[in-house]
Amino acid sequence: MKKELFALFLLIVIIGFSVFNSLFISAIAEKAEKLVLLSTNSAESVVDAEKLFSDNRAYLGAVLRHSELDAISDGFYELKKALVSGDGAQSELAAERLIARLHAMERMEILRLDSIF
Amino acid sequence: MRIMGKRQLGELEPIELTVAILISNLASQPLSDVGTPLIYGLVPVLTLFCLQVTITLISAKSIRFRRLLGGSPTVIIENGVIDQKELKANRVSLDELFAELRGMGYTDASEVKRAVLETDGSLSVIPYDRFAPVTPEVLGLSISEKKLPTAIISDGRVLSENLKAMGLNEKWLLSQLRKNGVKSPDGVFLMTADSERNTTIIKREAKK
Repeated sequence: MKKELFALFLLIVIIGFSVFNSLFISAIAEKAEKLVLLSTNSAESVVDAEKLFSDNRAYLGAVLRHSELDAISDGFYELKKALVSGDGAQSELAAERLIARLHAMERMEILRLDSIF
Repeated sequence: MRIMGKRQLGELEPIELTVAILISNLASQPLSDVGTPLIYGLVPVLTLFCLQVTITLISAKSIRFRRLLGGSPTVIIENGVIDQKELKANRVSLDELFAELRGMGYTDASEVKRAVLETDGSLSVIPYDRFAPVTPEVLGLSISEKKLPTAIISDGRVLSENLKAMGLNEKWLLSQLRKNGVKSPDGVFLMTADSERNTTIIKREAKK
């Protein structure tokens, strides 16, 4: 019976961690998305968004595929490049792409029917 | 796995084989790809372990669930007659059946009272008494029960728990070793003792 109780406890821990992980990543993604949206008016907000992302990079690297995180890092680089060049249309496009990647990162960890099938 | 049938399973129950294959596949993914975090393998493996334990528990408590997952044993030979319908249903050929019987020492189905194809794919054979191996009881002999030996020294190491369980102590152990010309437990490869304190000592080979 000890083994079964341990298994049940472990399952509860795994489910609990999955819920926490999902909520935590959603919170980071939402904050970063909001900051990136503001970037068209203020370049500082991109820096803040990138800092938020890099501060949590260690945790994100442990729970998400590195290729996904690299894609988001590339997105920040493209956005900063577009802002520096002063091209408004390019900046908007880069911001939209980055937001899409952040959104994908958030949705990846949410359990949905279409993610199962 | 149930659809594949019993012949695929070897010695594992279907759920055990499925879990074993899944675990090895899941565990190998993060190991082979540096970009995939270890947790991608660890969490599914642990989840499978938990589910397998739960399923095993339910299987132990519920016959219906057990049958649903693992199927039921099938009688292939009854009273020396092969059940051709069951043989075909389980996709077991005559060659395979007779190979199994020969492996157990039976050359013909007529020697077998009952043969059961178990859920793990193995064949259990109950022969007719006249073809069964002879036992002392059949010959009307009475023999004393063999005393089961327990290892008390293994590769030079004293197994204190076993020693204690046998009701023995180190003083007795050392005296036995001295009687056999051994100075210390280090010089013993294996020592066993039974409930009547009969010992068997295998000394370590001298290093060349």
